[in-house]
Amino acid sequence: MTTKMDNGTDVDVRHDAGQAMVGHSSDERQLVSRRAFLRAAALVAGGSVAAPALSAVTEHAGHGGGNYQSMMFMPGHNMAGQITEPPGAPADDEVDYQVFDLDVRIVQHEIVPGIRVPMFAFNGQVPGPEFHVYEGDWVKVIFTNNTEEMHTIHWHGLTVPYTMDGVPMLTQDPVHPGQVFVYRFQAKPSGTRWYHCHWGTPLHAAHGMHGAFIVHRRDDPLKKHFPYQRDYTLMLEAWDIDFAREEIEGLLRGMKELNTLMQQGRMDPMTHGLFRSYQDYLTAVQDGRYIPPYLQGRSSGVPLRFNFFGINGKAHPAGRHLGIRRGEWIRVRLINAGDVSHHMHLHGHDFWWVAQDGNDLLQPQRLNTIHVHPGGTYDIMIYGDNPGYWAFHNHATLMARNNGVYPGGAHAVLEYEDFTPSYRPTVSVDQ
Amino acid sequence: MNRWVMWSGWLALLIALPAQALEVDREVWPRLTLGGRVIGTLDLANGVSDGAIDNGVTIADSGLLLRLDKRLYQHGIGGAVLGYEDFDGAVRLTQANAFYWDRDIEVHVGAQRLRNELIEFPVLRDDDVLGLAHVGNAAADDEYGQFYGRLVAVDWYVDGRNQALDLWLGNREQDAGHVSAGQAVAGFNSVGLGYHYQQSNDLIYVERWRSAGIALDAQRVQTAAGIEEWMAALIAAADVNLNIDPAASWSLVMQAIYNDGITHDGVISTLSERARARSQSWVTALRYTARPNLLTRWQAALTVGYKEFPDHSDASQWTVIPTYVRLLGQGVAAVAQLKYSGYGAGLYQGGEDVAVQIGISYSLDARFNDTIGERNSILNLQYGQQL
Repeated sequence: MTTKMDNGTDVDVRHDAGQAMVGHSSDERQLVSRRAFLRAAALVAGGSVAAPALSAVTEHAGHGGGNYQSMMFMPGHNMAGQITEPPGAPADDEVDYQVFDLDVRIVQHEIVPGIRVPMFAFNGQVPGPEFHVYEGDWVKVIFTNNTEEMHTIHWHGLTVPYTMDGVPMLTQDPVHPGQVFVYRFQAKPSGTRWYHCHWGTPLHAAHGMHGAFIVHRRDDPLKKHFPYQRDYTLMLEAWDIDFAREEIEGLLRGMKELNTLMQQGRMDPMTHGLFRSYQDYLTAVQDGRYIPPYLQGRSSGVPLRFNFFGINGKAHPAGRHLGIRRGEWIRVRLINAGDVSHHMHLHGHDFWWVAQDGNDLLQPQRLNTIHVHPGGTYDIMIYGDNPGYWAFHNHATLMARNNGVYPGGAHAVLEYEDFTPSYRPTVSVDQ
Repeated sequence: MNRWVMWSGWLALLIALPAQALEVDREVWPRLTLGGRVIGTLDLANGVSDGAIDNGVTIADSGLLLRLDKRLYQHGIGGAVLGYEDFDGAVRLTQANAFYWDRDIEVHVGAQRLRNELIEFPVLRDDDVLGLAHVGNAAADDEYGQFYGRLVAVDWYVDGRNQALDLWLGNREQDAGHVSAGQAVAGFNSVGLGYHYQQSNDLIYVERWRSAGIALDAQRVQTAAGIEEWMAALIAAADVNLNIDPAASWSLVMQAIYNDGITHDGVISTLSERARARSQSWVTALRYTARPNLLTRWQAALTVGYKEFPDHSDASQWTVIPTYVRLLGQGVAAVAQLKYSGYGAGLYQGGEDVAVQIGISYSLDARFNDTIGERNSILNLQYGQQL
């Protein structure tokens, strides 16, 4: 599938790798187009205007921002219904923003048939929608928190103003339940970037709130050597589904109590583990006014045991195939959104590793196994010269399992679309 | 006779073999939940009743529960509970039941807690309100028989969430050592039905209602004349938050029992005799829970109860129990309680029980290999988690 960019330019990239790789359930990934986002944003805005609570708009970007500071220590602060527009980026009338609407909600995400897991999910899908913009584009993301928990969005690898970086209590307050937070920034530098929640990261980001953010160049130099027509994005994941369930349950319990206090105007920042300074924190612990959560049992808590691994929200055999034709170059963008390294090995081919963390390598390397570490992005080019069906999987084979049963996990198939197979793949789930 | 024994043996073997052949999948580990409590108190007491506390150190109500369960092939959860508890020096197997549950139904079969109470009061031990907050066992005098029995209990959650219709059938203990000759009943001796509302444990500080219910509990008993009769009791209860404040919570617990009894002029010297007598009782408790920074630190409660036997002259009981629990760490608490019961002239010659208890308790609720979650979790009740 070739999709034009919404601004009418003719970049022939396969925007929605997720549609090819997974997506045969209601939570499948959707192409993020400006038009679609605008429609959604309009609906949200329509509802928002009607809601009196949304009349409160905090500091607008580009309007000085002199009063922009943490609300978390204000007595009785309640951010539900607020629209927060932090300073640090041009105002709407100063540049031409591409506007996107993004929310977070709790879904029951199906990893493989029979395994449904509660997850915080951008726009109700895991991974979140995939952004495709050009380097230099101005991006405005209207983020609505439709959960009872706090969230932020960190734009991983993008050089945004610090007020847009999405690190709670370092660059912004967390986005409260029912709050709208507007991120504005210029899409740069080019390459394979991504975004994720930065609040409660082990649960929020690694277990659902992650998505690809692809910044294209109009003159992609890689195309001179690797003239690809299609590109795929593979977000590599690791889940402990029991941790996800119990952690969300615990968060919901705690947040219902916190939100009750907040609605009553009685939220004490210390109750939420917030202190104005390290010294304040130290004093509160030393004089017994505050018992840190990590101190209560002198334990490290329940250890995570990652029991499912996936690509684009799905574990083998629920994933889809990567299509290729003889004589074709395809680009595969690997993003590790989880907390363990994936060692992706392609059968029957070498490939060219061309970029890391979004930046083109000075010298591409020829490999057939690439080590994809947490937080990193790795781009490879594959040339179609060996027709067949070829496994592309995590060669740390303990992670090529579903709940301890091989084969499963992060396992894709490179499929030639222009040959007549003598042996057709079937589905094997218990070896 | 010998032939009958032989054929019976073959029949038993034929039944047993398929049962042995059923797979127990060793690769699927169950979830293991360890629960329980050890409570040790120093008791300084002086009393007249048969339930009066003695001077000394007691560990009564200490016990251990083990729950093993796993997801089933298609739907729901199955497992078993085993539990032991100390009854003033006698350790008894209190729980040994197998169960099934899903969003809509819970079924427990085996030894388990009787459904003769609807609510738990904020006192140190269950028997602190024994006789006031439980429908007594008309055929047993020991404490075990007041709380536990063998039942098939079905709770049908009509809304798939908090509201259930309950039905149970089974056997209360009939203690031959304490029940007068000829009072035992063959077959089922207990049946009941009810409705209850139970809030998720995760929401008890932020929702108005914690729990409420009404139940009809019936026992089949044999009268002194050798006639079997059904004896019924009606129970109603509610546990409600007086304020919605998860940091400083006030709540009120109430339960009332009307027991129609079967004897109206017999003696009421023992637990079973009092259970057979017509009676009415109520217990209420005012509870304050201090949770600064949403971490429970201490709880104080005042529990007051009253019971009377209207067919007996001046046979009444007043009980007042202030209780204080201070958490020293997670699950570890210093506890203190004063228990006073005063009796009308028709009970214990109008005497009184007084006890002061000070001690330490350790409570355990640990889960291993938790692949399931709980039926009354927020995710299940509000977000439709699939079980």
